[in-house]
Amino acid sequence: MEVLTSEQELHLVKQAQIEIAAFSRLYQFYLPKLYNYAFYRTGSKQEAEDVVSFTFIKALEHLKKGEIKNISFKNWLYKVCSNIIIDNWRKSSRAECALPCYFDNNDVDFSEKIDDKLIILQTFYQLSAEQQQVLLLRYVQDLSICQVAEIMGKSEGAVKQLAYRGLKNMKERMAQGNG
Amino acid sequence: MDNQKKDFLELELDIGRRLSNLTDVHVDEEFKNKLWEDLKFKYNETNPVKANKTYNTGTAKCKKKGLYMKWGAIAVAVLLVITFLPLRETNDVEMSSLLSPTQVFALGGSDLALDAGFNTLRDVRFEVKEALPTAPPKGQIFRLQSKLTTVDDYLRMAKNMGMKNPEVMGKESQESVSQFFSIISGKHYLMVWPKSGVWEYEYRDYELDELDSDLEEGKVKENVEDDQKIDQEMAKAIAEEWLKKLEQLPHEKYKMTVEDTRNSDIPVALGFNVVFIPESSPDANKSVETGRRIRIFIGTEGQVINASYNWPELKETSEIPLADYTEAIEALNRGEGRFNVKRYWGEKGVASIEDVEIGHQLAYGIDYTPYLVPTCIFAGKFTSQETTQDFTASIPLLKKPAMKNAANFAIKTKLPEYRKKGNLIAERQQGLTQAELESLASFFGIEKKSQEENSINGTKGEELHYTSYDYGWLYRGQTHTTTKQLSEEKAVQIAQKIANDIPVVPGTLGKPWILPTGGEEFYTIGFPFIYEGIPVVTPSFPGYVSYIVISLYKDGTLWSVDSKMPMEAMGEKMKLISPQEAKQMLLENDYIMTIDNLFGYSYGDRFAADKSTVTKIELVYIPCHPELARSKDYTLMYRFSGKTIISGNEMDFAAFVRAQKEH
Repeated sequence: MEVLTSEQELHLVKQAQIEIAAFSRLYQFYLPKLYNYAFYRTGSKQEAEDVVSFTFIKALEHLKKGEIKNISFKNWLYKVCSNIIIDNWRKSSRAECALPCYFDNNDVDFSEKIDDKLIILQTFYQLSAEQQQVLLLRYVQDLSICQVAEIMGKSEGAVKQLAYRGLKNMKERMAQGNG
Repeated sequence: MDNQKKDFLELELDIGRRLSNLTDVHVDEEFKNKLWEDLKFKYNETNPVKANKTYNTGTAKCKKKGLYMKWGAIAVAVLLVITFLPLRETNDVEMSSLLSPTQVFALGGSDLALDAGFNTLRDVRFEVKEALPTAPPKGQIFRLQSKLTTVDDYLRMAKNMGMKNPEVMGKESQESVSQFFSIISGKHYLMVWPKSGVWEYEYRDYELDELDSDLEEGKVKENVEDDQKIDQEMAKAIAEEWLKKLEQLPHEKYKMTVEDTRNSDIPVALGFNVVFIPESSPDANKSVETGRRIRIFIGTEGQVINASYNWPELKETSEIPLADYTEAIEALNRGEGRFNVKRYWGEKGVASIEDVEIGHQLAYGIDYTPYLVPTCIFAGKFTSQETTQDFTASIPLLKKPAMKNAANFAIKTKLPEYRKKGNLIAERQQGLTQAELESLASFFGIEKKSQEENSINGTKGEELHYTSYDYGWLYRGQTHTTTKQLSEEKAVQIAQKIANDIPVVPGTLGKPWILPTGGEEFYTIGFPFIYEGIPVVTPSFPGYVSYIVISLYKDGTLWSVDSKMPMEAMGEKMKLISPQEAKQMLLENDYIMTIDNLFGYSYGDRFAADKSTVTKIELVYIPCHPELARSKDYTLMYRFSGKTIISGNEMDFAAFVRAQKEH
């Protein structure tokens, strides 16, 4: 799996202002990650595609204006992506992802350990939107608490508390068989 | 280790690990490629270093990118579509041509603005339920002025924000500084649009080296709500005090609203959103959303986390003649103006107007001078699909120019020959047939490794497949490295030869042009598809809707061919007006115009320019809904293109006159 160090990322972000190849590298690297994040948050392939499209268009605009400086590009992307999802929810008065559309999607391979994944997801989508966001960023996207805090505009303490509550809720629901 | 921390670690090991094992979702390759194509185009479109160059078409142009600030960058609430108004008869205020927000509508009452101009997506008929009062014949227009004008002014303010040794970014180019610059110091970030006086501030509470993800003693709080150390009244006082310290507290009367984000049902940062709006100024009207405002977000501990400021002060005023309500309603029915309802998704409905009031809204001159322009706000009930809800609709009451040919068009080219009828076309509705696929595979010399219903993979890594988003197709050849570089002219000749021989082409080929997306590695050459002599174009610059793109490595080896948005004839014909009649309509201000580098559409009946020179006139197909990825209907229009001069700025324009003959 390709890894991008923060130093490499900073260099690419700087280069991307003048060189499309650098932007291409950032795109290739972050598109799958963001798409995964958007898909698990929205539960819809179509919505995930819309969200990541807007995110990269915004990223390009901000890069060209030199506005992504002194910030981790990765955190910036997730933050913008999250805001777009929330904006979409606001517009549609929808507060959470609808689970069924997730399972309608053929791009997700559930053949392996399907039962466990179904249970995990069913419980996951019963959490509050904030708890879902924290757990996705922290455990599915493998970001640090500090990065999640930056993306969500919260203190690290608040993020840890949300993660703790989210995991605990999931555990309890699964134990009760509500998953 | 306390119990909670231990519990947390156990949960992470169990549930956290199971979450991390969730399956990756694969990105659709077509989507990935399509998005990248769009981004590449946008990259080069917005890159001031690279010019968008046409090849051998006689219309080569070097865009003066960055001459105008992108409208989207001002502030979401004032996203504008542009209309110019001839206000030269007013003497009290020296004004440039005015850009006014006339064609914006909001979805779901949000600030998201979409432009309309051709066939609008808004399918609302506005009706007057009861007789409205007569609109006043005259109204006031106000010129506004930002309190801060120079970089030094903003640097002084930055220091008052607590920024130590603030650094100005964007100083490299004087042009850039005049449009946008940012000031950075540690965690403080200030973005400034000096011409319009808009600025945004953000305190970013992080450092790049803060990468610790482990639990630290004492950092986990028992309860998130315990973070809140201030209340709403304290937040208001903090916001006021902060603005006072910055010398940015409005001199005019204002009122404040506060939103406690703890009550939000969606994940947002915790704190208080304090919003300042005018209380007694012309734009102190709650129905008009595009007025001046300041928003300051105060964190739970009383710190300013971010702020956006758009409050230029009143400078001058002048009396101007106003349009009447009938004209305003006609404009709304054409799809102009803002339409606000709680939920609207483009469905057909009737807006029954019950009330009207006059307010003011922000608009900007072509030099970004802010103005408050008289605006009427209609209110009533909107009925669609058996539901009824309250609505407001606002539109500026600026009077249209009475003069003919307000754009001062001079026609410097011959009119095209009159075609009495034109074929109607539509986007192709199905992918490649098996025979077409085979024929293309044979043309590209693909030795089949595998074949599926709509794609063929070659033994040397080539691929050929139809593209589901537009029913075009894409061929990709072998990867290749080269050090040799052909000239552009030679590359175009090679591309032309390939294009001429491709077996599956929906029309004939137009003149080639070099796309600015090839970068260092490729020459990317486009050929518009021409349908019985007529291209399919976008209303905005640069481009074509239906075309083929050939990418060659710099040594001339073929890399890819992408056939985009092929069209097919519908078998129906449209009766057309003559070019002479179209010219007459142009001179009578009956057209819709797009101007390079400016966002949105200008309507001929409210556009004025010092001089506009037409150098090309042609029949073109236009998508009726250019804002959508796919448009169901296409229509024929006469396109008059050339250069227009407004307030000393010369810009490329395209004015579209409908070509359909009315019954």
